[in-house]
Amino acid sequence: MIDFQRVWLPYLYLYIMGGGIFVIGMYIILKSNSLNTDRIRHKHWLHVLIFGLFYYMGIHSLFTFAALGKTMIVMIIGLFIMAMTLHLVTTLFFKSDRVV
Amino acid sequence: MDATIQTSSFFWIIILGYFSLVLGFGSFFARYNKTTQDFFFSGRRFSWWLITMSIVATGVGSHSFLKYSAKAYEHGFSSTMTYMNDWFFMPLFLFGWLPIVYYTKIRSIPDYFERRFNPGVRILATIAILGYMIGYIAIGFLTMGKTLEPLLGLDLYTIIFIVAIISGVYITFGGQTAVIFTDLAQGFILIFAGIMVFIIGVNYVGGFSVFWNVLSPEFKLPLAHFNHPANFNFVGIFWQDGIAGSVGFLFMNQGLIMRFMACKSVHEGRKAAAFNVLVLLPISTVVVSNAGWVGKAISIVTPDAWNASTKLDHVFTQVAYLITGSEVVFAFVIAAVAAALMSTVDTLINAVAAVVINDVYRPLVKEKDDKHYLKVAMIVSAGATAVGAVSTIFFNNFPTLYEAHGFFHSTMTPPLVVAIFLGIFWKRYNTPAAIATFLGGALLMAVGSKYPEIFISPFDHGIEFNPERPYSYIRALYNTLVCAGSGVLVGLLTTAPIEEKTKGLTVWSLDKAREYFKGGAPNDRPGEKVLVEWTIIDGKDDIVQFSINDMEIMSADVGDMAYLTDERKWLGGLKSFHSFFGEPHTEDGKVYITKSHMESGMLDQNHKLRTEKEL
Repeated sequence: MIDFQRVWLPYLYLYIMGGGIFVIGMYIILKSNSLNTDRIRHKHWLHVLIFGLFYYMGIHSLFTFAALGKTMIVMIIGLFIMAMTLHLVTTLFFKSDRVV
Repeated sequence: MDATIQTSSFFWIIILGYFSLVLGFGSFFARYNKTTQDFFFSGRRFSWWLITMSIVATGVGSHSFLKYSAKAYEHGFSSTMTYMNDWFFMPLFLFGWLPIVYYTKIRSIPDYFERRFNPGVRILATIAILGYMIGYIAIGFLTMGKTLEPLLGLDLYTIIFIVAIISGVYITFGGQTAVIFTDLAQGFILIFAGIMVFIIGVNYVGGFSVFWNVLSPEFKLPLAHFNHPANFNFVGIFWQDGIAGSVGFLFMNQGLIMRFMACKSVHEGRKAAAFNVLVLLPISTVVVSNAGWVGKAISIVTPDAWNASTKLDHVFTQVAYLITGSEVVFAFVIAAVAAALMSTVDTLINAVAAVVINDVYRPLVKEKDDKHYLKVAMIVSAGATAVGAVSTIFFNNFPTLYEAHGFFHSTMTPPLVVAIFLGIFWKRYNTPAAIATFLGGALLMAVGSKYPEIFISPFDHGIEFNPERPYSYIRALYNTLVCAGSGVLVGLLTTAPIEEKTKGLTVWSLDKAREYFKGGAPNDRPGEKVLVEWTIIDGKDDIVQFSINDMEIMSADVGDMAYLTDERKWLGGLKSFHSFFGEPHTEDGKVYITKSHMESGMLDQNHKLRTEKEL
């Protein structure tokens, strides 16, 4: 049966538990200065890391709405993911290569 | 039992031809193995794209087309869950474990445990990691056997025996460079083959619209039901595969770690990991699962064409056979999958050899020349292959490969993963706490396994208790918590380690690790790359000399680390070397190197060198 427990409870659990692990991880690497935002490359990586979380949230919600037949929402999320991906590619694979 | 799929000798010629081609490709690069450092780590020289594609073949092969196609056929698009969980740990991996492993130049994961704790903990870690990798090799062999079983009609163990001999011979002589290049080729082919199966399969059922509409909305949801059924539910899979499995694969898979250590720098390693998780894993999950979705659609649209008695682990082979319609295409798909599985196994065999040589043999038999260790590494590779093949008997007792793998992850990974995590991120974590994690954790895991209704049920999230296979997946949560609890409790009750002893070995002192790596203070001033011609000069020191202007462009100082590679980017760093900046000269666009640099980098006289300051 397609009810809340079937559709959205796993999604919420995934991003509350997984998101919690992600936030703790970000806190540790920022606090320890392992990710040092004074360095240009690391600033790019900060963007990439945050992007990655929203990217996966987007993919999971996109497929959930697609399964439910909500085409308009799927298109909006799809465009959002594509725009974010473009940002990622330019940030990680071009800009970050210019500096050593 | 499902019937044997009929094939002609032409089919087997294509399979053998494919294997010869791919293995020959890798063996060509085996000539780059001159030392054990090359055999295991490929001399720390490769670009991110080469490493990330070789990771695809290792990851996809290990998780296998067979096990995900089976679950995809049974449960739908939620078979993709496992591949889509890894990002949560990326901050800790990219800026915690990866730089520590790289900068401390550890030879193996147990080596880290000795430096962080003591030789006793190293032994515990060695036992745990060898158990993990041998189990992984066994599952790889079993998967290969099940792929070929419906085609050959031979006994499963006979197939495993043949496959083990081929793998053993190849890895014994090839080493890590051969594996990386074999995997590079297979990464591309695997993705191509998987996507081809999807496109042909969708056409077979009548186009995408038919494929999509014939499947129920519940089948198409990307996440499984929260806690039902017992053999495939979201919360169990999340803890077993998403947490224990993903963390195990990222943090304690010696084979994967060795790939990252083969990168030319930590930055390249990060790019390889990020690109893999963001781009290749979502593609890979479709690649490995789609045969199951297509199989389900075929069973609805054309039920007469579908063999209803097909075993779940044979769904992939059955679908590939049905939809390809041509023996050539079918042979190509089977060859690609079988070769990818072999890649995974080869990587792990190489990793077992690395652990045995560096963590067991070298401490016992000291001061031998490198050739001796290289020879022993080859013998160990052959031994690991044999032990892995024999271990398939245990894993074949599970109903499906997925469940065998699930049990394996839930029980083998928690102690080591918890010890690595606490070791990297908790300064207070000391030797008694690490021992408690391994031994106390193992004891409590055994107690939980014996009395699951008492100990694991409080964590079951409402999952039904199956007396035959109690809490197959959610036991990973219990196991992780008892290992972490044992370590944290003992850590809090005992004295914290001296700060000096943990310098460079935790995320809190990474600057120190970078300093040890370089042998001096790191230079983080941003600079550009330069393209230069090279000339050999006499000298034995490991230095390269650039002009003052070129050094300014790179923002490099004397004593900084340099990375020099052939100007042809498509080589991915195969012809490259690391060195240190020496005193500058006045000839712009030229670098002076030694004969030893030219030999280790295998440079071509006609090509310039692209150079960057590394640290």
